[in-house]
Amino acid sequence: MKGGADFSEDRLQCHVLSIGLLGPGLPDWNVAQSILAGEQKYQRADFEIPAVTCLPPTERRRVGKMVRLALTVGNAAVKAATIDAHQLATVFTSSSGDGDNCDAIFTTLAHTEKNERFISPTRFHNSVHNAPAGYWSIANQCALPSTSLCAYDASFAVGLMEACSQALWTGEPILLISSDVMYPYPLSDVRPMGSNFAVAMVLNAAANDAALAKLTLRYATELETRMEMREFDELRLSNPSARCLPLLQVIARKALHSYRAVPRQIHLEYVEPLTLEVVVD
Amino acid sequence: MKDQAYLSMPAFTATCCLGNGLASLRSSLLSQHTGLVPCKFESVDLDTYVGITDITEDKVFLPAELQDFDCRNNRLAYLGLQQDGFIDAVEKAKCRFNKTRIGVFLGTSTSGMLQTEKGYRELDPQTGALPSWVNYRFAQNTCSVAHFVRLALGLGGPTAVVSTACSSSAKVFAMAQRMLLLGVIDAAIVGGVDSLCLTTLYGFHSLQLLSQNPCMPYDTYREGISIGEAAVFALLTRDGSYMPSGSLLIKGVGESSDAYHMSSPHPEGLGARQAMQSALQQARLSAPEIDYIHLHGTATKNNDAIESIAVSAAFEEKPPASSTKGATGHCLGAAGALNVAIGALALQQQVAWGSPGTEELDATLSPIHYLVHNVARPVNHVLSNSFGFGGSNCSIVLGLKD
Repeated sequence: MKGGADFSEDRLQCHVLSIGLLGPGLPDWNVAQSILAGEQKYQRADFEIPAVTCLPPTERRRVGKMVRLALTVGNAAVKAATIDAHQLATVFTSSSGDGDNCDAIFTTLAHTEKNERFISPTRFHNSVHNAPAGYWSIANQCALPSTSLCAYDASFAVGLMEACSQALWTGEPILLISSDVMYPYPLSDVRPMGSNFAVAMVLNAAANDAALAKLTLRYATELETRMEMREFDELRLSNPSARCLPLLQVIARKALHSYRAVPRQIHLEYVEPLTLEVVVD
Repeated sequence: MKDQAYLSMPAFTATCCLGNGLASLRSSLLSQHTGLVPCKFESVDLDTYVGITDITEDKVFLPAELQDFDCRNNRLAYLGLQQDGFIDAVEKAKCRFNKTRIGVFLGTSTSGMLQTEKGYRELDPQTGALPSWVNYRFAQNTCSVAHFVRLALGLGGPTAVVSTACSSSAKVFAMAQRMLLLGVIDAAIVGGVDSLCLTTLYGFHSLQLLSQNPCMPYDTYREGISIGEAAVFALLTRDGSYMPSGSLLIKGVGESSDAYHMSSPHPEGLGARQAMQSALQQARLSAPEIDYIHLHGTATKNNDAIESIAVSAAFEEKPPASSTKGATGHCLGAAGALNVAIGALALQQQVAWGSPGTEELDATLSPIHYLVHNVARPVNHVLSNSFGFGGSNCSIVLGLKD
């Protein structure tokens, strides 16, 4: 917690130590970085969500796409930050949760007889919004605090603000994981998503030599930043976690030294009428 | 040492099966009345008891402009907001603070998913599509209740739902605390809203954790939980010299993860113990300064046994402790905030609450000073526990301003 804060300060600052990413045509942060910076052509390609090897075999068999996606990007970010995951508090954020699991439960419960309404215990405990957080803590033996958030299409920005506030509050680095998985039919009808997408960031109040960027966050009322390239903007709008892309693009351009070509300030989708202003240095 | 992290709680309200608002909650607790009734909810054919609220369609109407949000969870939220002058307290806060600097952080585990559960019974026979009355964004989505409450109160600030199962609405106090003390917001509406639905009832049934009788926390013959529903709200601001002596304070919040199992607590209660100790540390209090522990006390064999181990280890001198879930049921995503509200009533009434439904204290549990009956005594500090699936733990210390 900031000593002697006068409470009129409405800007929060933190440093991005690393990024993990998995999206269509964006297999990892290194490739995504050169694509977003315009140095490599973007070619959208659907992808398989990898299995997670970091869980004990019994747990590994029980997890669905959501947990696998979240843990994959989390592991990538932690590895890139060269910090032990055991020492990182976590903020998980997702608009959706595990849609396959949800659909299976609702299908079972649509039966009218008790003996037909049997949900497996694993399905039930996997239905909680904090399932990825639970599995992450087990996989990494991490007993530090963890929260799991949802704010519909503002979920990424809400998670970023929360992670930044925790990093400032504790003075310790923190891992943010934002992930959303497409729903199966018929839920996909009422909540269409065009892709699976997840991003993770290790954030810290203090900079280190490898820090990718300094972020200054503030609630604002300017319109959200759209992306110039149509494919990117479609991807941004296709999945709530992909709402991070304008921010990632600025970080990518900064990292690859073509930084002056873009505005340093962007606005991420937040809960209307607010947006989350992020200034990248 | 960090700066003092106290928050002021100038208004709060709770609606659950014991009635709408604090007056009925208080009088029920004083008479150790239980609100649990045999489950006749919806089409549920389980042999269990529930803590159900009265939110039938002819009694609770959402405002016309918020009709899209209509579902059991938001209707319960709306009923809850009407109690104890809570809306007036928020209106006063809106006069003092910019409404874009008043946050809404709520916990829920169920959201309005009952609507989608019903929708799955009426899928189009040809296409398999959901009926048109299923409104995903404003009912089913986990954030629906926070959007709804923000609009119902005419606020325009930061908004989010914390959904960490049964610790959800305790952890919102930590979120608000950080945002308030970092100066990002000036006030916060926190709380929890969780409502009965088929997923939780049949889900806990599948885990064999539903009690056939009204739940009996810490009792020798306890056999599981009774599920309840509740809407609980609190207004939080930074503590200031203008707050009168005797007003309610949130003095510390402690969070931890078990890192052990998705649905069973750590066998030695390490996560629970860590959460309690962090809350005490942040409140700058030592264990003997806690006058009453409002336990999570769900009444499952395992949860109560492990919480007793954790409390016994963290408190050498045993303060009075109890669970009130025998009166309210386990309100899941609203349980953390309901525990805080009932803890606040203990401070206001100067009563350490007993444990409605509990008859014979389980002698095999680790030694704690468990109260079966209410005890009038000085209560200056209350510790309130909430633990959830995924190993998510949160403890909160409440006190009164000097």
